[in-house]
Amino acid sequence: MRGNMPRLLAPVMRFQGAVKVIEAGADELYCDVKMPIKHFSLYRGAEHCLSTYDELKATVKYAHDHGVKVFITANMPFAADIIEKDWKEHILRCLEQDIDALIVGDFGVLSVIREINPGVPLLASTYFASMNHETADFLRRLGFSRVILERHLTIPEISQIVRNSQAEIEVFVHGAGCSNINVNCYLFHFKYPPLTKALEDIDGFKNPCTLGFQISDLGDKEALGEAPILDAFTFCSICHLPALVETGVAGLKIVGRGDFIAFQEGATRVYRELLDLIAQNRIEEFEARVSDLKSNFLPRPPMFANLKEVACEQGRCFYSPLFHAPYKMQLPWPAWLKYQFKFLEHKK
Amino acid sequence: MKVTVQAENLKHFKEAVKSKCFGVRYGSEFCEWKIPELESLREACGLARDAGKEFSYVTPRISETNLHRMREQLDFLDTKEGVRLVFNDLGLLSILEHFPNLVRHLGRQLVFIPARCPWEQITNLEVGFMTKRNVAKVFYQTSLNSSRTFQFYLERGVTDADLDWIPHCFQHYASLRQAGLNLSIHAHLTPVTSTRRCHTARFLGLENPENCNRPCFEKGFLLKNQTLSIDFYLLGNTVFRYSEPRANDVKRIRRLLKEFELIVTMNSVTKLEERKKVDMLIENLEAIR
Repeated sequence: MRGNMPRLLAPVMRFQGAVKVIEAGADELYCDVKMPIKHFSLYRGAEHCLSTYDELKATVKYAHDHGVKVFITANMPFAADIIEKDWKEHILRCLEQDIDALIVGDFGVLSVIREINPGVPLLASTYFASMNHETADFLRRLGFSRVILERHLTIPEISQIVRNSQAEIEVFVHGAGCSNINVNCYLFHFKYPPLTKALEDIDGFKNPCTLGFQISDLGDKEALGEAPILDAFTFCSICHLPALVETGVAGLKIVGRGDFIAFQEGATRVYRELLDLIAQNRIEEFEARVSDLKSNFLPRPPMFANLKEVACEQGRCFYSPLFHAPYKMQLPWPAWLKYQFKFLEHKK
Repeated sequence: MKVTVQAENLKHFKEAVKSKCFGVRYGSEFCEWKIPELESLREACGLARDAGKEFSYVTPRISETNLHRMREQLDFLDTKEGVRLVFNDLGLLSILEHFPNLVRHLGRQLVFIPARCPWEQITNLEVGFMTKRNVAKVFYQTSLNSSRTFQFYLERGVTDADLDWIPHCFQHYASLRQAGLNLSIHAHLTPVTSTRRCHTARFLGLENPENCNRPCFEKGFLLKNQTLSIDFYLLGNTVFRYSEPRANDVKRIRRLLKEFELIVTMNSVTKLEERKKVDMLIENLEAIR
């Protein structure tokens, strides 16, 4: 039944989480192991990783016993010669645990992996920011069997890429949908204490792009108010699942390695159930279930807010129109009027 | 040091070609909805040739929707002599194999530099001196400082690359120059983050990228957050931080690199919107010895 359906990828940070998401119906897992290099978290912290290689081994064994594949996110968007030795050792240790593939996001890292084990299956990370079929095919020629697309694409664009490319395509469906192009965003860092404090003050969010900013027009220095202007965070795409399946993508990915196990399990269970309904062509039941989930599913435990409140009412939909604004701020009307008419000349 | 002026619309470009700069760049670096029409590209190319300026065409990341437009433009550019194509998309690098006349110039969106992060993690007080020193060694490098990544692009015919004005990184830029890469360094604006869900468009209530009236050609916004204590500049879909090149840094990078291209961009953040201001900046930069 699941033959032609996209595979469902779930994030994992603990062995217990792996057990839960496999029970919930994940086809594939992705995770990482804390690297034995102190303070080299150039981009993301080590908090979202399995603690040890032994934990990875147990996770892989459990997953394989249940017919589930395990991918390691070796997707640092940056390689440097001085960390190559440690990096190689890390990859070797991961490969020893019998993992199924590596997710790679940098050509330097790719070269290291090819040297260690030319045959290991590879997935091209979203850090390659693939937004067209030429990129997907280019990565395929380099040896990637599957390409994970950048988040900021529309369903018709995804469909075209799948049609035009020889590569297997994977897309994001749920969890933290970044406001910005992942690999070009340098806002996210753990190590700046005032930032950490500011982020702690924002309930339910972790990223600097969700902060409020005082906005002024550079030309006339006019203050336009305060708004979380950089916040284009998306979260959910259950309503769009049939259209996504229709595109022919090979994988649907849930984001949230750093989230609670309850989130990882809950999201996997919901998407599994909905995908199975689509596979069985029970579209009316699918629609009824989606409507039910919006009111009754609490997607971000331990928060007591349902899907409608977390996502729908704020427009935090992965596949909403690109310029849809999730934040609620009205520009003062004179400013609005000015911007609407002043730039019409540039329309051509 | 050769100064090249970058402009993303014809109004600015016409000012740029009249200035004292060595070369001119045309095109949209970050937003595919601002890719110029072919006609406008032809005009820009002609203006540059008439003015005797070296011409580069700058391109952003490209989605499937706009890929066909790029092919059309590359067909045209490939017939011209010595045009540099600044690419920020791997798909474009792949397509460039069919356009042997174009000089392949790696754009800065494909060069990862951890130090673009506005809050340097090495300031973390919990970290000891030695660790800080070790992290700094990596933090200020670029992805091209990995010999493997460098080799990857070299094998694909890349001869030039864009970088940012981050003085702590200059020593690492020097090793790229020594390895034979031609470097173009953007003065003033360092990109901090960029999106396809355009922050400016959403703020102004524009609904459809295809009907975008391109307010960012003339307007930029200053973003302040008290806690973060850093000013950001929003120009279209990209957030920048701004740094004025200081005389000592100009001297240092000249000493380190010997030959390089300095890119100055015409827009509302740099306030370089007419020839006079560009010329004044070039004179000031050249006077630094």
